[in-house]
Amino acid sequence: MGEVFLCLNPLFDGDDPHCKEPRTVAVKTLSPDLMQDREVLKRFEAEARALTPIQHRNVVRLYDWGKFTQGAQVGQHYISMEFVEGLSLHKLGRLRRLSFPDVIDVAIQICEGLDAVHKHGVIHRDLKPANIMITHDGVAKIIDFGIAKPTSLGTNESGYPRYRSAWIH
Amino acid sequence: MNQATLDIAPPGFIKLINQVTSKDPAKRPATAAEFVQKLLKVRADAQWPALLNRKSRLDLNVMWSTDLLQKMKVHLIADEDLIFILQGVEDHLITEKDIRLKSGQPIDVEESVITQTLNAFKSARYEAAMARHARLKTDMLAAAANPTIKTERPTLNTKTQSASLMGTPPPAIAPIDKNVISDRIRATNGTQSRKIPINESSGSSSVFMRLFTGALFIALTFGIFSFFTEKFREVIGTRLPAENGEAVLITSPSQSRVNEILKHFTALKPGLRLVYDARVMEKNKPTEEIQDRRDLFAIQKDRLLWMQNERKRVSTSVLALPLDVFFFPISQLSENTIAESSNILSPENIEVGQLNVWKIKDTATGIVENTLCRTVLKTPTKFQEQDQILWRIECDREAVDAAGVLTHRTKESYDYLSSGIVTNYEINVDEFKTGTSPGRQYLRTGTLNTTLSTFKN
Repeated sequence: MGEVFLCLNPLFDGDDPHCKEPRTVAVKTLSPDLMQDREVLKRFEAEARALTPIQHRNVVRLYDWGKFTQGAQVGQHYISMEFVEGLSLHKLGRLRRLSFPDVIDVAIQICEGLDAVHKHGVIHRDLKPANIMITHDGVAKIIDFGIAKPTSLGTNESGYPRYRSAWIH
Repeated sequence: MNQATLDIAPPGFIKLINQVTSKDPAKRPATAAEFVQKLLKVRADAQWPALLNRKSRLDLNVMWSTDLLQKMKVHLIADEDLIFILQGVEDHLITEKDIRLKSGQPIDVEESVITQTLNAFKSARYEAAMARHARLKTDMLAAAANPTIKTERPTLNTKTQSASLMGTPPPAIAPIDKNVISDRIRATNGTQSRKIPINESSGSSSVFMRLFTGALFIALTFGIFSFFTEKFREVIGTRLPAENGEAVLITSPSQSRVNEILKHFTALKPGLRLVYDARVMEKNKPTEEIQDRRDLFAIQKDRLLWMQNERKRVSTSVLALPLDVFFFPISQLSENTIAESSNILSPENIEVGQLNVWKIKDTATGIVENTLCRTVLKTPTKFQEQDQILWRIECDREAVDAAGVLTHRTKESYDYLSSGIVTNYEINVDEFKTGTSPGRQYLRTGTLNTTLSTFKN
């Protein structure tokens, strides 16, 4: 759908206690070819809108979103998010056998994140190990809200079939 | 605390997962928050030591120096514990020394850190064993108070694999709380008096009453002790660690026992040739069709000596089921330095629901293959015009390299006849990407070709 860049935040000031944004951020951009595709644009915006109000340690944090107003990417849509340094749960499971204490620890964190998401009236709809990042200090973060939508719009099925709710199959 | 123990679901976990995936919305937790509460309860009930709950254990970028592994060897740490010790060292460095282990450079640590971690590990293991023991005791007391209460613990359930939980319980049953016994005496006597611990002197009791109470106490203690012991056996399964899901090194059975087993396995005689029409299927590759030949050429003491495909020698114990792990190890096991552990005692008497564990360890390289098998079906069948019993055995196997990294995982299914041979097998192998392997998935199936095989019954 686009590209994700690791960017240095020029406004970062380590000495300023009011500076809430970190030094590094992940910037997700929408490919210019897809900007005409209304469906894709809708999904891109949906991710931003879904994430905007949520601030939880187990949910990837959104800092900003909009369109570039200068530079080579003028007019291109972007979402600036927390840069999560670590591995996806999918990859982690392949590299190391997780013991039950780890599994339960991660599950608790994911559910706490999901609870925060649901409390903001959003459903993720594509929760799977590849969309859970585990940071180096063991914090699980839910990422990729690309197909999330407000609960008010209903809960038709979507997402990767293997991780779809058992009762939908 | 070994890896196998931590690989077994804590009490209530499987039940919770079944609830969450239930098709009935009423059974599912209504909110994620409710699920969190239930998970927290499962975690609290499991009473894992704090050492094992450290989140830093998930850090993957740590590369240990070879010197460190050498230092570990001096401490005679069991291989299966090594990964936990390393994780403990990792925790120690992160929490105590505030070192972020992300460098990718091989890390060496001081001897004092290793010693500290080892001590913490030992005490955590001890705490876990004691906690488990305390839980069992609570359950037994609850069961004693109300025999209809079903304890959630230990059932040797093939699906939940909750045969053993945290650690090995101490060998002896801990002393029983005297107040509890006092309550029990009062309950037996039907008295409604205030709680009097049995060792509290009443002052007014006569010698006769004291003797009577003493005798009653001894009788009841003996009764309760027997009851508890019986319960303990029920809960644990049996006193034998091998039947408690714990793999022990396979030892040679006596010759009479070997003869007894071989009497059941009528097909296992020198000269037996088993030919399987095998297929290896892999995505984007043509199906490979091969013949897998296994010739039993001799039986020496308790070992069956096979020649596989006319070139590879395989030796299996009479106690071993003819699983793929012996004939086709998924990892690079050498042939002569294998240590076999299992919990099987009677390969001739397998029942549905029975769990068997197999551990094959290459003592030279440290590679381990762990297999957990469940018997899912037992049915009478006819083979070669003889009445036999067919068992269907399903197994999960995992291969772990010397550094504790999971390299392979399989799902296996065998049709095993009471005469001692496998007629069908299906092995689904997931080989993970490692430094030397690009990773792949394949399915290997085999069907006994009865026209080419020879049976000397």
